Amino acid sequence: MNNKNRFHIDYSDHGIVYALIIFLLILAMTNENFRAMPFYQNIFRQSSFNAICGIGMTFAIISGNFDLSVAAQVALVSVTLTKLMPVVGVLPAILIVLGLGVVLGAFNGILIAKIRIPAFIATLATQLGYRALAQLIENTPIVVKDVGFKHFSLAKVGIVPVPFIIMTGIAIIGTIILRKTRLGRSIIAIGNSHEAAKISGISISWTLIRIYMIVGLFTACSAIMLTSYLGSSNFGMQIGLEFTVISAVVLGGTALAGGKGSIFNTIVAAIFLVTLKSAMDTWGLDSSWQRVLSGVILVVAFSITTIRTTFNIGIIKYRSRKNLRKRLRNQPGS
Amino acid sequence: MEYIELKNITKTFVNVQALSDVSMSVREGEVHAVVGENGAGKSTIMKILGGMYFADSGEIWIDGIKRDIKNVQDALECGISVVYQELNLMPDLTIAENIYLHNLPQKGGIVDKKTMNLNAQTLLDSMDLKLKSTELTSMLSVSEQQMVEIAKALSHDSDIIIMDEPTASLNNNEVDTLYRLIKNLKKRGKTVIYISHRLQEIFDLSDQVTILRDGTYIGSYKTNEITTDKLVELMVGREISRFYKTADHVPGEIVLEVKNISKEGLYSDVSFSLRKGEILGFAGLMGCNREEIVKTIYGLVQADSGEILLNGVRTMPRNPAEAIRSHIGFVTEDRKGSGVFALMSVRENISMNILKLISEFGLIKADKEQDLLKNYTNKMNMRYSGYYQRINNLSGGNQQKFLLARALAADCKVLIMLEPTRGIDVGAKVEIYSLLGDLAKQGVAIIMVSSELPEIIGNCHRTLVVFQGKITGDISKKDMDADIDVHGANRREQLRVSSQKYENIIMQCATGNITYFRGEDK
Amino acid sequence: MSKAAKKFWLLWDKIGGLLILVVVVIIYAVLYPKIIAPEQLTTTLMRSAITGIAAAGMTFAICSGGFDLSIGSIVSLVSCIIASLITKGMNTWLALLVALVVAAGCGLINGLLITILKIPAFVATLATQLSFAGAAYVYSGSKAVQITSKYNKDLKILSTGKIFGVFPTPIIALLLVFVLAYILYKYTSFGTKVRAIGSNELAARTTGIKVNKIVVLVYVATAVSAGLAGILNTARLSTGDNTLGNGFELDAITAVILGGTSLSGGKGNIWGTLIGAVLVTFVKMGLNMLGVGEAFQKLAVSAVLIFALSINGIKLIMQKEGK
Repeated sequence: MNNKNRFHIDYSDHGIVYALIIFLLILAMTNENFRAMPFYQNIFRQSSFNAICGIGMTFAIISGNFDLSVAAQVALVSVTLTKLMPVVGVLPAILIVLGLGVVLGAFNGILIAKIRIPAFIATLATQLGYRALAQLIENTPIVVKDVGFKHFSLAKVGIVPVPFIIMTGIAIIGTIILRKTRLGRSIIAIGNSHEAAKISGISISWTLIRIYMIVGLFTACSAIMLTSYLGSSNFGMQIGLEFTVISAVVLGGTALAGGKGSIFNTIVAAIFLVTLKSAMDTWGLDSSWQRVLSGVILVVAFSITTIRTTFNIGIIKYRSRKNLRKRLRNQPGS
Repeated sequence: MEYIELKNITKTFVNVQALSDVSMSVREGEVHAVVGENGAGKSTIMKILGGMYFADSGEIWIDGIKRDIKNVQDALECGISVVYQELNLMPDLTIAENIYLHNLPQKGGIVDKKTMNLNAQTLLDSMDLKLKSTELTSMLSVSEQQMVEIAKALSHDSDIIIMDEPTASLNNNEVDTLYRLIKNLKKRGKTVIYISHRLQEIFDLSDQVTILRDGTYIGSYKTNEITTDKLVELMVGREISRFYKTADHVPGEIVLEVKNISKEGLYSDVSFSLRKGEILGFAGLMGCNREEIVKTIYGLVQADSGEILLNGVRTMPRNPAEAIRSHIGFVTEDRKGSGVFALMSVRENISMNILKLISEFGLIKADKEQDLLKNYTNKMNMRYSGYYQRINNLSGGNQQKFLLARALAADCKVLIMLEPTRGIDVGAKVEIYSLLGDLAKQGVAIIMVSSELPEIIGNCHRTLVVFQGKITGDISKKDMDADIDVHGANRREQLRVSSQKYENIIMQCATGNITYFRGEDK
Repeated sequence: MSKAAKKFWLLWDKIGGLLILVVVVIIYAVLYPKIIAPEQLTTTLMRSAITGIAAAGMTFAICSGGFDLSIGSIVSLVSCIIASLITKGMNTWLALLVALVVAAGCGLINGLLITILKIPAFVATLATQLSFAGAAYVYSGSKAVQITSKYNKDLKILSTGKIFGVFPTPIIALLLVFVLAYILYKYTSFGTKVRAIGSNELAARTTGIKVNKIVVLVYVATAVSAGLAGILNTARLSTGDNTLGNGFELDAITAVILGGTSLSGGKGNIWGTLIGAVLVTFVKMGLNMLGVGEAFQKLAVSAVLIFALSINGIKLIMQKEGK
């Protein structure tokens, strides 16, 4: 038994970290824009919004589910926030919409856990519903008037953008929940086997509801920060966000089937995707081509597992054939 | 060269060498058995013959011609069809559709349903199955589905039929039908390759038996020229002194009382009691719902009426969490699907039942978890390479030990195990029986639900037999062994006779022919 | 589950959708009698042809255990291609053929991603949804292209033309497609194999049938039916618009689920999908006529979807408990 093996089995592999480093190096070498500090500060700031949402989504995907309604949740939370702020003040409004996020998540959770609607369909439906609600609340974009609120997402502590710091804090909390608490353990267990989790005394429905509440809460955080950054809200904002966030989680190595995953990797992947977008913008690709390219990247991301497995099997086959040939050669009269 | 020749077959999966340089031959028209522990490679080599896997190297020769079997279609064309261990049926399709899916009779692009249903029905009738070919497969019981699998293989009318553990889910009548079918196939000149853990079947049915161990070929013998002991020895690679440890201590006072529990459609008016340190067996045919009865004790099933008393206190767990709190433990029969948390580490797997107990303020204490793991590793001789090793890299036997440890970790006084040694090799089986025996001696009451009668007869103080949701037999081992003269010269023979008697009574109760209530005096 | 409950669910699977449709029609008739005027009903049926035809293909995709989120983008792409080709002078029917071929190509891409690269259906079609939409945008730019009366004579046959002078073309097309779909589903080996794959893909593979081939065909069929729907929609609006198909897949999926097809695959209900499509269109049009805004319409469709799924869910719960 190997007691020294403190630092784990692969919770998921860290390919994305290497990919990001290599990508950044290539960018830095090819274009001077990519060597400037503001560029990186911008990336870290921008990716924070998606990353926070991604932390919540990681929980969902590890448990074998996911949430397609996060984009709509962001819109709804953002619109509500901007509507409430002039009425009750910034801080109360923030607290209220955090609660709203939890409620939206709980609704998803109940549909999925108690009424047994499959996750993708339930959240596909609520996506529609939440966005419609956002539109009903306010049909036109709302501009944020409060200067302090607008400012905090642009602020920096030293050279680090504030959103990034907040994101790091949330990531640490998220990781502690996932790795060190009963809730986190139960979430991973459900992702491995529903039935086994049940037999171990875990309440599947209650855990599922809490997962979606976590997603709702973190998404609301992300929405608040995003609203501050954009300075406005709009019922049609962030369309397609669910796609980016789920990509980040899967790109980071968390399998859609669930059972294992890493928050750290999700964040790295989120940074990777934002870097990619910035790069595409700098290279002057227009948005339709960007969409095509994003689709292709997603495909590659998902087939990496297949490609790697085939590659691994190929290597092992080659090695075993080499061994076999060696063995056969050494045996007399084979 | 024989009819079927496998030469130097090697197959490696990602990390595991499943087969190394295996060669074996099968004569035409014989029933050829392949035995070996789990992981020996029996299923793998059959899957290669059947076209499911492709060998890394080696050759397959059938009837003097070298064959290239790359997929199932190729295998079928070579005259090989396979009945696999895992059911390969489509629940939403009818029986006829399942059987003929590969070869749907068509008239100009449209499926000829009439012919298909008729052919299927003929096949089912010839197997004495009371099933309609137009029935949906999802409506069938597990054993009926297994029989449909066999029908599927027979429908190809292949010359070579491979069966991998075909009796795993069958009841007695169906096993008889299978025996008849195999004898029939032999009469018609077909070749049958038969994989089974049940040594009795090997001796009943086969002409020749091949032993594999750890992916290598050990030997091949005429079945009537080898003994059970020798066979087991070759399978395991060492001498096995006593396979079953008979429970020889005396159970204590009553810890569990089940009184008249009923659940519509599953079981009715079930009552029994369990003593401290007693090992109680639950026997019965597939579909008699004995699993549901014991699951009720663990809170996985809710009874409609009746009561359960634990140490005199009324306890009706509404869910497993409550059962765990009442010190009841449960080990599932489906290790892979509902047992282990495959992608999680050994440490995480063992502590899952008692997360509450090892955490403070919601945070899990790592040192408590580690202690738990160390404790049970020593007690149970578990083999793994690190705290953080992923559990699905372990062998089946080790995984089963982890499931057992997980249940015990909650300090359980009543342990329920379903099929405790299913799919586990002989060596690990012995270890588990030994562990269970020790647990019972320490006062844990054990309920063992098993389809392997020798396992029940060999381990349990008492056996309850279930037939269609009712208890029809309560048989104590003492009663069966009552006439044995312990110091007599032919003790072994007497043991064999009493085991046979035990088995017969169990089977009679299981088929509803008799009832037998002569358990331990209360 | 008790025998009575089992019987209830069997009945529900068969006619549940129809029942809901009848109830909804009655509600509307009471609130706003104009809705059930014969002309209005015809228009509704014509509109439901578009959702319906796409939903027919989607039924196969869902039956095989997957589904296709990209059909909305395929509809957009098809409409852009048709508009652009026709206004450049190409023969209408040729242009339609080209569009269908492109749609089939999209389906082929979907099928290959799912079978060869083993990407889960939802992810693959989410990705292609994006890519196809992007392609539509690239092809046509951001402006919608009007197909003016100079070019759209042939096209008009598809939207306002009547076969034998009585039956509107879209409705005939709808019926034809569904009859074809039904025959494919129930009577061909293709249909049986699709059900087999949806029921237990691993077992289907073991049986030796060419699962990959069938799955690719399924996605091509889904894409082609989406293409047909796109053609009808373009004809109706006489416009090529790259946002035409936004949100389309949700309507189609709602129609399929309402119709009784099981999400997990293996059990399909072709005629149920037809009823589901009519129902969804009816709800939307009715709300439109009642002066309800777009947002509410979307809310209503999502509510209908949740309702349909809840019923499915309750059935599942009853099945599990009663076991």
